[in-house]
Amino acid sequence: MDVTRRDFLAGSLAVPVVGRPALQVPSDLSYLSLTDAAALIKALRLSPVELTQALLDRIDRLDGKVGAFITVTREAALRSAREAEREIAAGRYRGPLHGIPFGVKDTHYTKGIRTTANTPVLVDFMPDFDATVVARLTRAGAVLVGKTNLPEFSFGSAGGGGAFPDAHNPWNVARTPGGSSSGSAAALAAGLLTVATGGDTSGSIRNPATFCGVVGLKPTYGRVSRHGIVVISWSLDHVGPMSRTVADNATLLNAIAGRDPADDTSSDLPVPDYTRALRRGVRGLRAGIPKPAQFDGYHRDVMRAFEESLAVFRKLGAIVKEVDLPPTSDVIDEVQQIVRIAEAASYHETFLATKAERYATTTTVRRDLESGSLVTAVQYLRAQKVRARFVHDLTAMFRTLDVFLTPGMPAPAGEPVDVKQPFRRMFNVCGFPALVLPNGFSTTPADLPIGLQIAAKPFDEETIYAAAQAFESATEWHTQHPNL
Amino acid sequence: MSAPMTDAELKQLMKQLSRVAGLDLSDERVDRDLAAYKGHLAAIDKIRSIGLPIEAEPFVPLKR
Repeated sequence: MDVTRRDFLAGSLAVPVVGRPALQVPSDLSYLSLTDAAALIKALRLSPVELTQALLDRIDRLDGKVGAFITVTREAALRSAREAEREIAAGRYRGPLHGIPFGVKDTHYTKGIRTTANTPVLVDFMPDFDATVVARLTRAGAVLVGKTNLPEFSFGSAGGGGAFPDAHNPWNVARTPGGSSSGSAAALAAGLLTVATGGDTSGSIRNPATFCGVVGLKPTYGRVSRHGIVVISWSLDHVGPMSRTVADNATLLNAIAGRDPADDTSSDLPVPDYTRALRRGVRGLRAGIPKPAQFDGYHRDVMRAFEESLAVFRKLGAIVKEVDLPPTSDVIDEVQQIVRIAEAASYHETFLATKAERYATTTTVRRDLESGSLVTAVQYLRAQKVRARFVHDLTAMFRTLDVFLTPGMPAPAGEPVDVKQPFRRMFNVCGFPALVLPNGFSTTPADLPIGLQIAAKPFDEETIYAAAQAFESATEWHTQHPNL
Repeated sequence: MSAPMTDAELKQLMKQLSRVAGLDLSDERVDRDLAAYKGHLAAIDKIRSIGLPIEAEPFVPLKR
């Protein structure tokens, strides 16, 4: 029997919201957080159908301008939302993701829904199973609203597409949203999704999250399954949660983390409840920062926001100290380049042999892969040996630190960058977790988001969330939204 | 240290390596890919600046 909206909402009269003041359903649902939406849905005061429909309407209205989606799964989303509504009304509430609309980067396999990686090579690819991340979110009752935009095969840090047009930055549609998880970040900033996932091989969650003013986590390598994700580089690829708040990010990681028998590189370490770390605070937290010379070439507004962020942490009781990076960090982007392109060339071997003409002519993906095919095994292993040494060195550096803080990106979206150390790919190389969150806006050019990166030891996402939540609670950057 | 390879030498090397790799790149593709290949070789040169002991291993598992 179908539950009507009136039936669903009428149920709320019988269900008190325990432990928090009465939360009102906002008239505009676009920027409702997962945490608040979940509380309202659980209390039967907000219908998953109402929330999903509101976002679909907004996608209809605004995505022509933003280009966040390659595929919008309208009918399936409404079916899932109605199913969630029925289950919750019947008392079968599954948890905080139940009835929550989400999007995934269009590299995530979705059963019966095209998965293009924005390339003509895969434009007709219809997987017959869901990526583990998608399956876990669906099992948690979340509602898939669409597949988000990216550059061809996730190559590149801009929004430039292959088979479909570029995504745009909602804060200034003439500028890049960053990449490669461009669409996920742009959709969150534009209020088109409640939460999303992305992929990060060279900074591809953290770069667009910074440029679009949202929260993005690259978890520890092995924390989240990569099964059913179009590969760039097996040993550098990470899948992670993207959101508008730190708490939402932690809730999403709870749902997608954990051992997956289908991914042999996934870790069997237990998954804690990451939301429990949110209340820890940062008193006594040992926060390392790079020495000033490492910031040569960084944008003035980025450095101003970074200094202000350090002042916030000090005020909250953290101990901020400069640390020396190991010498191996000087070559770590080159290590990442060789490992990434050699592994990518191996993944693409069959495509290059059989479908080389189908790669987009507007991107450099085919060129990069063909040249990567010429890297020898000895050269690849040399890079891997330096990588192993870097992991050892960074482990030693973290013996006296709880977190390591840097700017999220060296400059705001689309501004020229010439820096020695961008602090981004190094965390793909070592596999340590790193999160970015908003920490300000630029003045020149005006009103572009700036981000703060917080990294930690392997499998210590809890400390990252504790630090990020303390910072977010002390600031208001996450409450700002673009005027679209 | 040996002298840097000329573009002509690099293109010849790319042709030969691509045959071994099963790609058999055309002259046109080699021309297009040359700059990217040079970028990889420059990265490899920089990586070689880090001295490693003979015992160095290429893979390490991550520990908590």
